[in-house]
Amino acid sequence: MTEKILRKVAPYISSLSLLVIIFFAIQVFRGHQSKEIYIAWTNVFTVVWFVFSPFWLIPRNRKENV
Amino acid sequence: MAASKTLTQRLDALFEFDRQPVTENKLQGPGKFIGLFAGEHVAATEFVIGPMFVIHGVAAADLFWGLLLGNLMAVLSWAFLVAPIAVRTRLTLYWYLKKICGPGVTFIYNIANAFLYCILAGAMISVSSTAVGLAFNTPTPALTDVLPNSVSWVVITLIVGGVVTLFAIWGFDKVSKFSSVCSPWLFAIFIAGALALLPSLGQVNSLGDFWHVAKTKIWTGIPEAGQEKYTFWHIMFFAWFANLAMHVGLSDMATLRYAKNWKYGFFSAFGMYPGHFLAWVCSGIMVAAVAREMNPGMMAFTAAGFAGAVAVVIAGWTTSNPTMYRAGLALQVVTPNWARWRVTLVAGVVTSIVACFPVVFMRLLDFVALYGLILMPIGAVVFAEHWIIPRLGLQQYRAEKMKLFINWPSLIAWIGSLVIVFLLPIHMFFKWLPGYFIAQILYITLTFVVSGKESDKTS
Repeated sequence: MTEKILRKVAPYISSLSLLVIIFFAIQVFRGHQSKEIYIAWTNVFTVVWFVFSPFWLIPRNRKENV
Repeated sequence: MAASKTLTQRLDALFEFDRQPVTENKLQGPGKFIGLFAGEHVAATEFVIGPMFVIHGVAAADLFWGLLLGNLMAVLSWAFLVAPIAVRTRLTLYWYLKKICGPGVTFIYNIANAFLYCILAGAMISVSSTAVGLAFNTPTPALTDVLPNSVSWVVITLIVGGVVTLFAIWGFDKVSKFSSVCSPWLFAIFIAGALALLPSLGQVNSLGDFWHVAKTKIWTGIPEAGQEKYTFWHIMFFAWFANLAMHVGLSDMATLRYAKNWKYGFFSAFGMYPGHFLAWVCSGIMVAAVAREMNPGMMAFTAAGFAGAVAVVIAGWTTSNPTMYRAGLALQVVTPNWARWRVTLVAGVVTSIVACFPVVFMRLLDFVALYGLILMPIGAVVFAEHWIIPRLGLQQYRAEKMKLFINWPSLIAWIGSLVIVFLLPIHMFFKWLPGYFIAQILYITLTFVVSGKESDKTS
């Protein structure tokens, strides 16, 4: 049951984590954010990406690749 | 004869899984190909190629136009060269090559491929080592270094190579799955890193500002000391041949034979423009922001902190893993009684030693050119056999029908075209294009001669 829910929400959470990384980079680019804060959030959301993305990017039973 | 038969059987056994043409029910939709192309072309090499363009003093306009046009040519090569043959035959290059050139040439092709794979995987391990070395203050080799510059560099590279080899032996499949998770994140790190470092090069409030910074601070048109200057043509040709073995060399028949129609070749644009345009531009911005120092690990660490350094390690690892596996697979033909782990171990040891020599990643652009050039004539031969030979009224698939171990016209066309292009006084990046036509002309002429002699004998 938990896995089913995780598989459903994982694409949204992991995609959001990449958007957040790019958002903080844009903030640095616009001069609205320090680079240190951006780096800290990049590290945090990298972890979020690697926790959630396998739930939807790695198929459970992939018999044959293209 | 007996020896050649055993060799053929060993080679066939390795590729047994792909022997039959793909059946209708196994064909894949567009989504699969978009994902596959997009994931395959954001890799560790992108951390080196973009910066190399900056170091070679390409001008901003030359870079953008060169990448735009070169990648378009690459996409067209996938769409018009590989995809039509792949969907008509539904075979991998290995099996189609065997029909055309005979098992002997296929064997030589496999060994050449294995050797080139080892060097490519070595370059990727070197790239990863630049990031691991950050933790130990290891000096990264200089741009012109050929030999290792310190003991610590050698130790770190051998350790990284050892870990990559162990994973290739124990968990190739798991690493392959893991690499599919990495690609979107890697792409995000490229974009974020470039955005975060751009302000350090100058104020950018508009597209005009960006263009000014691009021209004056990044792609200035002035090469680093001792480096050759690249022009629009170098960039265009590089973008075109970066995957030469896959498109013009036809090795992507393995993938595109699952396509529902040949137009799926155009989906390669989903790999080319994000990976070989945006990622190269982003890594170019990053290297300019770190004073043009060719150190992928340090560059990514400055751009995205710990996540950046990890990106370089992971990118190098996930790129070298399948490369090393493929090298092991190709080498298994020569060592029939060895288990797969043993062959991969030998390939890994060779690769790790190669990785210690910084020249393999500092001269990556030249190696990529050489890699494509060496395998390209085979693509030319297969193209000629598939489309031109039947139209000339010559017998198609002579090697298969006559059970030839080596189809000599194909081997002579392969080696002959390479000898000719190496003698041509043109830059390495441009040699493949005349070479492609030379290989076709040689193959068709020799086939014509051989077929004439055979019909004389018969009559």
